[in-house]
Amino acid sequence: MEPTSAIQAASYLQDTMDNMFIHCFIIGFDWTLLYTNNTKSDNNILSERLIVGADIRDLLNTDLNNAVYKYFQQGIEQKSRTSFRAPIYLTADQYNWFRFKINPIDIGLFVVASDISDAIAAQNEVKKHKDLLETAEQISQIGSWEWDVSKNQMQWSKESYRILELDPQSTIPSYANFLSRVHPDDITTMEAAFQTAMNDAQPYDFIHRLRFPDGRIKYIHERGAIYYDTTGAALRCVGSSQDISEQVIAEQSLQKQKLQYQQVVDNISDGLIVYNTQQEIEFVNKQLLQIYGISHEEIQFKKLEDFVSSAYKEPLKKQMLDRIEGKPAPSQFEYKAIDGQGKEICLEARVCPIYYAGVLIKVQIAVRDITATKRHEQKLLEQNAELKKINFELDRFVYSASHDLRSPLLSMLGLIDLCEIHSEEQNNVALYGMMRKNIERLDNAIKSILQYSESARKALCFEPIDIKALIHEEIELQQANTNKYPIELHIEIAVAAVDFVSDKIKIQPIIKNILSNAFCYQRAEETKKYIKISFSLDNNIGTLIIEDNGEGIATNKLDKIFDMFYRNSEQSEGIGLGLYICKESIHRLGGSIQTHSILGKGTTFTIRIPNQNNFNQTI
Amino acid sequence: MKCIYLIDDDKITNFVNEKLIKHTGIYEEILVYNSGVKALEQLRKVYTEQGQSPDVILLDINMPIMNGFEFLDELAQLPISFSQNIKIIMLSSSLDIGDKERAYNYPNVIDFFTKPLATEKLIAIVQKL
Repeated sequence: MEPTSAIQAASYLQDTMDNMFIHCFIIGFDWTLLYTNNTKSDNNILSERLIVGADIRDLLNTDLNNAVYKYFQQGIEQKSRTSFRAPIYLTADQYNWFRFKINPIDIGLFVVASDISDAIAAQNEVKKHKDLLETAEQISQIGSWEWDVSKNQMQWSKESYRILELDPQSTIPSYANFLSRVHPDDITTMEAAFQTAMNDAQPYDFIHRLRFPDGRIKYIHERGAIYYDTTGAALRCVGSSQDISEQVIAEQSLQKQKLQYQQVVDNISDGLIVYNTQQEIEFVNKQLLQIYGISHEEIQFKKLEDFVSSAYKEPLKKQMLDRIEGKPAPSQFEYKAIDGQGKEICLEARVCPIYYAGVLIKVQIAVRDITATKRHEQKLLEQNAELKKINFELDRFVYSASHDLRSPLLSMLGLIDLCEIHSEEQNNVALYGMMRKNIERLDNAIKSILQYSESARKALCFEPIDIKALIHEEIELQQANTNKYPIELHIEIAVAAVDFVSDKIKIQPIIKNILSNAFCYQRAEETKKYIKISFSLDNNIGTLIIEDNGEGIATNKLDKIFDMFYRNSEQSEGIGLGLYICKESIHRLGGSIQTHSILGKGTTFTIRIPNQNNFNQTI
Repeated sequence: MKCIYLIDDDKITNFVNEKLIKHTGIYEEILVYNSGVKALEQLRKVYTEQGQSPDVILLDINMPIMNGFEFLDELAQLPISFSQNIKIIMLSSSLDIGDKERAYNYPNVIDFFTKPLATEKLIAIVQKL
């Protein structure tokens, strides 16, 4: 080559190198930069710092660029060729990525450095997006895959491996490996769906199951698209697999619950109906259809008011409007309805309004057919009225009969009084006495029956009872009647007149009958006859104890003494109703009576009656 | 002169009570009526003619036509200046507490005796008048 031509060629080479987007430079063995081109490359870290004559170690022999420095050092010392990618730092935040190619030449190292910052940035961006996609797939449990049909090669995302529970290191992504996880029962359907999509050139969308060796099942929603070449042959498929097991299990559980709910509402004895604010029926159970006697189809096009008897339509409509407006409306009521055959039926309704965000949206009503109950109720009312009438008549009868029976007896007693006054014959006086005794016995019998009749029918009427006065009054009466022998009386009553509240009409015969027995059935041979009476109030229970040392009652008779018409003594002048009336009265007052008795020693009656001081009413 | 009326539909009761009261010697005049209507007629006559009004009336409750309570209602219709001095003692075979309570609602009623008439009790009561 001629020198001119060589100079021209060198100049041409120089221009060419200057026009390249790469740095070309030569470093001498003493690290001095011997040559550099003037690259058109965008400004980067090397552009300003490659100065001919400068020691390149000033740039490279730093902590940040130590790795690059070592490559250069190796090149200089071993005269070896190498290429590598590395950043050149100016500061920790200021750097550019370069691809270096180092070639040893006679005078040093010929280095080509291309700025790959943009490519690295793009690569990082791709990686970032790939990471993001993986994270998104993991979170959403959606795996992605690609199948190159022509090469029959597959690619599975990490999440796809996770869903299939296959190891990415040891498992090649292939259709066969995928199929090994598909539930055998679903393979045919799945392949048919895929084939249809292929044939029709449509995206595919289906759900299949995976079955794992331990028997677990997963539900997978597959979606994908198939890409074709110009001839219509399938090139590749791209798809996603979503693990929807949780949703499917939740849905199955919901369906199961729904079924159970339906079974429950169908098996309860009440009819259930749900309707909206337009009175359109939204739900009914079987029982409701039975109550109305119509089919499920028939009720579809009905409104609630179609089943309401005309007299109840307006009031129920008003209730509904009140409920919508938030006004008080009854939640339980009875009404008359019309069933499918046009027959009137009585229903009891319990309303449960359903609100959403404070606004009434639906109303649920539980209805019960009370037609038969109402009929019975009516019958009971009529029977009750009849019984009341009979009772009233019986009352009148007892009152009149007792009066009519007693009047002649009392007149006879009056006549005997007269006879006694006017008789001078002693024998006659004795006879008059016997007559009086028998008439009085008959009168007492009538009085007992009357007393029982009153006690059984009259309602309880509570009032404060002066128990002390009541006992003393009764003692006086008994003393006047029983004047045969002296009886010591021990009375212990430490209760104020107003403290004990009960029914006086019920209490009186209790005291009267038990005291009269105590006075009557004394033993003649007993020299110290006594009757002890005490009344105390404790824990709101009034306790009356009447003890005597009279005849006593044989143990085997004790359970009979409260029986109706039972008489336990030859001395008995009554008809055996006294203790029966006591027991009945005590029972009505919610109390109890206990008897302790030893034949030939005496008897103790302990009567406990609740203090009704919290009540002031008639029951 | 002390006067007592006996009002009862039962003739034997009236016969007996008249004898018993006569025996006590408390009343000089004993007038016996077997119905409230007749006794009321007599009272009206006594009022009109300003005659001898009874100090005490022994009054039965259960009587036909006019019972004891109806008699008391009619008595209340007479001028109070006349009727207030007439004391009533109910004398009935009724054991009904309601009858007793109802009788005591009338201001003239001073006691409620159950038959037969106990003269000692009557004496005790009238001596306090």
